[in-house]
Amino acid sequence: MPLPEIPSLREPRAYLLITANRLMIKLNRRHKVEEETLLSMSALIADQSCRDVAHVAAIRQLLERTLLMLIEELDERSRQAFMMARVDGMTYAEIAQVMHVSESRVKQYLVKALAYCHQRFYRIKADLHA
Amino acid sequence: MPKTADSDISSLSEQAAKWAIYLSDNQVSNEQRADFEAWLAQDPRHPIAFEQVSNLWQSVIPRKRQSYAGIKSFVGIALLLARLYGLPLAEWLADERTGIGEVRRITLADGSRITLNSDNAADIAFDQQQRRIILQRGRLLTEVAPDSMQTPRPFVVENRDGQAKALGTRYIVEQKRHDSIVNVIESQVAVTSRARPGESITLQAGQSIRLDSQRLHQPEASTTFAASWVDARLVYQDAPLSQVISDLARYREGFLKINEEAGQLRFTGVLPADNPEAALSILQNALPIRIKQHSQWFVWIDSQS
Repeated sequence: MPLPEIPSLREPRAYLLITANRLMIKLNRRHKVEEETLLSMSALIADQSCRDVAHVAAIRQLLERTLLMLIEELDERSRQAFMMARVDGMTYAEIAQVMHVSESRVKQYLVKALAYCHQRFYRIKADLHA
Repeated sequence: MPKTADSDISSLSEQAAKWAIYLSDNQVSNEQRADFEAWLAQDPRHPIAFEQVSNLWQSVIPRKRQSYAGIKSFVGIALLLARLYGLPLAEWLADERTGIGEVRRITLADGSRITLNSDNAADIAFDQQQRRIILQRGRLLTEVAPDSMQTPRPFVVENRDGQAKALGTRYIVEQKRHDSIVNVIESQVAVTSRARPGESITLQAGQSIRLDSQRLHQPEASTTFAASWVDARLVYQDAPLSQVISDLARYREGFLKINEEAGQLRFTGVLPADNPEAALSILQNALPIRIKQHSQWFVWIDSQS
């Protein structure tokens, strides 16, 4: 299965504002993040045409928030591990101690969380070896 | 998504995520690296997926001592929109942060300026009594303006280890893993450690002091180049290459790894922090190293032997 193609952007800045607005609405309704929002987000990431520093920083912040909302859709343990690793900046060893599990278990939680976000973002449903 | 612990039959996303998680660890063995390179070469989709996953993983910049509930708050996004529309920054701003490679100057409500180094976090808390900056992580240059309030408020930068109170001045506070360093560029700064709030040392321009959770150390002559990162230059005097690479990694997206042997080489010189690729090529010319790049997301540095 090829990776899904990402549409190119004609108006990156407008895209950015629309995506930000959608995210705000989602946040209030506490719904799952829509595929459409994720698709426009991935288009924003892939778009190389706008290298303005403020624009790039804004996209990064949107991406961060989108990711944190996606993490909300996961189970408690994976979410907890992800938050400690990325938001609190804890090492794997520190997380293992807090969660009372092994370090390799922590990595499993994180792999699960990150893989989930990647699949949601890029809509990869098929198994590599399926 | 198949639920299995066996990586051989796991999905593309899981494989890519596994590598991003494993490579984020401080130590990457030569064996792991060989496995990773083999995986990258195995399928043209692998490097693409790895790049996507790395981008997602690194899009969240950690901030220490901050509950995550606040980050996805409505206020956060509203503030972002306000910035996009070019509205002025509020007098009270929670969580000023800089991303990888970003050095940002911020003018505060009182006219003072702070410059945040790459990958940094600071809170700004001004009220009627004082002007407070809480440095959560990284390094901060402060240029204090005289306060226009009737009773001038003190200007204080505080962090985990203590506080540095301006006596009209320009200074840098840097928080490291186990201690903090205050460097005074102009005028004077009173430094107090958290452990002994009653004791303070007044530093003169050109002096620096180290403080940790226990105490204040003796003031020392400040290195001339302390303020150089503000101009996005990194200056080294006989520094271990591992240190140089870990600094550069903060200015660059993706994974920048060095093997142990190469990490022990010493480097003296100036590197452009705002152009990490140029910095890497300077290092390559200066030292017996080999730089191997697998897409911009993974760079491995070896010693030449």
